[in-house]
Amino acid sequence: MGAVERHAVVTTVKPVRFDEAWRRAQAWAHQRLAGCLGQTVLVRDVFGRVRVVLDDRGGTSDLPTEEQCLELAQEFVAELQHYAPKEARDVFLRASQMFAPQDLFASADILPATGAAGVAGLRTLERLLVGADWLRPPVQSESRVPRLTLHGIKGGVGRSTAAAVLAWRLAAERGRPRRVLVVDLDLESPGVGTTLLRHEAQPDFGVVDWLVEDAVGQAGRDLVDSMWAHSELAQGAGAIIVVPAVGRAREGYAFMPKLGRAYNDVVRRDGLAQVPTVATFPERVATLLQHLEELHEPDLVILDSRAGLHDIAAMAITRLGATSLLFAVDTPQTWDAYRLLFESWREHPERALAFRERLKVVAALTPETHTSTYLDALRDHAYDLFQATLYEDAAANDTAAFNFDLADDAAPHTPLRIHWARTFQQFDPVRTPDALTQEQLSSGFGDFVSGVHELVFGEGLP
Amino acid sequence: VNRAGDPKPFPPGPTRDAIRESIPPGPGDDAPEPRYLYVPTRHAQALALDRPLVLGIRGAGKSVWWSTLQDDSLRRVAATWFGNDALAQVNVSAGFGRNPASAKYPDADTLAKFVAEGVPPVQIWRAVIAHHACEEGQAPRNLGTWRERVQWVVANPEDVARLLEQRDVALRERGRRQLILFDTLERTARNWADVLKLLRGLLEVLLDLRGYRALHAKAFVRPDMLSDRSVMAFPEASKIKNGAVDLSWGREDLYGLLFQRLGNASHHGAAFRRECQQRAGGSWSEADGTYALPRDLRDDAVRQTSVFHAMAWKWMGPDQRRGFPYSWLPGHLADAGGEVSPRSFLAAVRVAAEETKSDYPYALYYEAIKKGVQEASQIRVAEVAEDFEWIRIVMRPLERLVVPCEFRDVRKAWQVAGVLDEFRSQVSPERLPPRQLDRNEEGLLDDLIELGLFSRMHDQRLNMPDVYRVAFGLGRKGGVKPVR
Repeated sequence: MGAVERHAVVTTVKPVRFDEAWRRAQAWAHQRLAGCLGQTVLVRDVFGRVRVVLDDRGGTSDLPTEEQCLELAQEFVAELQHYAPKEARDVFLRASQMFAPQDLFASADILPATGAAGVAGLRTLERLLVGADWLRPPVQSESRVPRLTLHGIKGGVGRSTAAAVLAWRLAAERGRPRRVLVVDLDLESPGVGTTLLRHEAQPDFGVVDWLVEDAVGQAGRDLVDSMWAHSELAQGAGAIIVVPAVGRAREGYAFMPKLGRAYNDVVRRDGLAQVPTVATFPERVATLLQHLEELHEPDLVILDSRAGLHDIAAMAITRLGATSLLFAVDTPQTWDAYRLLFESWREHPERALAFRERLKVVAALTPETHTSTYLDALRDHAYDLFQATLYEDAAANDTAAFNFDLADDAAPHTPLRIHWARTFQQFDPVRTPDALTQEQLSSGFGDFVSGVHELVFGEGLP
Repeated sequence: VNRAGDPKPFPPGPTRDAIRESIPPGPGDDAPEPRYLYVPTRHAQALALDRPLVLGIRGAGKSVWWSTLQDDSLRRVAATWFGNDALAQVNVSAGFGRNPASAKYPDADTLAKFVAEGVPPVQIWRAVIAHHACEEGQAPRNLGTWRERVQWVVANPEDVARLLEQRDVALRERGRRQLILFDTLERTARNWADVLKLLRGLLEVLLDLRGYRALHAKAFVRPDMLSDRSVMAFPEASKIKNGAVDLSWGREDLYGLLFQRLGNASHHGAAFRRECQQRAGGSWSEADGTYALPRDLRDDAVRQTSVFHAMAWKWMGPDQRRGFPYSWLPGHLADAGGEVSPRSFLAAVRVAAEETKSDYPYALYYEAIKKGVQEASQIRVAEVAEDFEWIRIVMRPLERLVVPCEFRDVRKAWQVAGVLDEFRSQVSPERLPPRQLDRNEEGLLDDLIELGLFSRMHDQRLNMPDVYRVAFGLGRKGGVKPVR
């Protein structure tokens, strides 16, 4: 009889899923640890299991006793089920029991629980395998040379083409031809290098080579010197310096074994100090960019980023001090995907401060028919996205709020327009330079190029 | 500010003085001095005698035109500027306007009586035209009252036709033209049904007059008045509508107006003209004490930008991320249809000059420009509320609402405040109620959308442009609390 009853209970209890567990953990902490929220960090491990870390370094008077903890822990397990540690005694962890508590409490990934389900005073720490870069502070908040990241949450929206056209036009700017450095960071789907360079002009090495050589400490000047080439598209005083993701394809040049090792964090033991430091992947890329910028002194660096929510994109948008162009086509898939990303910024708005003013939507494949209806809808959808996740509540007279009118040209949600035409499918300016006329290019990319010029140089195209 | 690559500023003090001198504080003047008269290139069509219909929102300058064309000296200025010699040879008179003038046209009560008695509006306006077209002592002018004149017109159609023909011939023989102007046509009656009937009648008469070569009429009309289907429901109405001149103010037009004013400021105009010349080239030609803005500063956005950014610096904040003053200012004064009233534009510049500290290296500080826009927003509301008194009544309950919002939020606020009852309890309102009041809250909303106060987003949510949102006290919705 008893056994039957228990069986019935088990089958009717709904499992606590991932999102629900996190909400429950925060609500539970709010209720049961109200007296010591400031000393509490909820740590969610790589499997999503939540533990409660108490900071007892400054005294224990506000903290529950060991005995109370055991009782609380049982409650916690009942509340979170599979997303609590298997054993109740593993729920709580005290700083004094940890080997290096400062590593946890001083972690840059610790965030206040400020989101929708958030509890004031409580802090959280997410242990992620990937994706943590979306919420990390910039490696460099401001770079000396303006950087521009081109990103599409979905691929196939003409991002690399836009990068090539942009470099081409800026290198030919009337009265002030620019030096443009184009870096292909799309390691898993290289593209812009091929568009801007003939096969025989491609350099021996690319970004992926620098990453593996850097890991063993031999990414010196000679390597940096053999990973770039001038694109013949630039004429006169302008320059397009291309750093491809990979070196020129040739006998004996491997790619996949390098790609598999590219994203490593590496330990550095340089300088007089003998204490080794860890250089994360974004920090390493920032170092590479600095080397390249010092070497070439460009007016602008264009970063062709990986599509989607990949860590490369996270880094290029949020951590390198770049202005970021978010390519969009007006489809539900686009906005749903961007929403997944922007939601995490809504949960932690203070982490978006460093880059939220540097975002700009690009209407990537604006169709040739029903153009203005399409653009209005796209702008409205972009507005919805920004308004719900990044824009601040603003009272009538608040002119300082990060918030923009729907029709404000300077707003991040107001798209720069790329008008798509079938002819751009064959865009291959190096090999077939006459396939497109200047008029076609201007009508397709004119608004985009002049808008980018304003964003990065602070003035219109002459 | 003041780094390498920054625009070299115009001397800030004198530039601010030029602004103070040439732009009066507050709502400003309806009939500007000749030296301040500015006609955007596209508006010049409003001068053309064969363009009988001129459309412009409240504040676009319809009444300025109406009075300018009647003023001999202002008309000469305009004629010289546009090389429109015909304009100098025109007799101009008013066929309807803001102020009662029974010697020239019947007032609203008289018109209402005629309409109530079933006189076709076409006949009423024919009587007005005939009155202006005939000689002293001739019928219908010699008749004592408008009632008699209208009756005469109704009774003597052939005489009216002959009168107008003879007048046309006589004018042509003397090499002259005649122009009869109609303005503030929303004040012809006290209810919408009559206003629209009278408007339609007038448009029909305008269409008929197109057959004459020296006898012309011109009506200044708000575009919202043409939205009612009944107004254009007469044969060949499209001929009138398609030829309409649009008095909207584009960005270049607004800056042209501003520079024209500054260049003609009594004491500091000369300095401003000199700075402009050094910066953007072109020369200011002088005639009768009025300096005309060089062509390039009328229509060339790049040159205009270089002048305005010499007054206001190049960005709307410490960096370029908040936009550029040249486009930001008109952009933030635009209604939902993208229209900007010149008065609010000038007012914003005036306030910005007042609000900028005297030691700031440019004439206008970007925070002061923002302040200017906020005050101009109030001026725009006052301007619109002169034509549409009901707007304050429908907007008051929406204070503190946040946009974008759903229509149901708006409707609820109106219902709680009893807005519809307030209108319906007015037995004989002094001023016109919302045009589509009979369609309840939906009608109110459509009226507001038509007037550019609200716009509908793709998902039917409602947005309000800053120029109205700020003055009416609505907030803007955000997904996060301010982080600063």
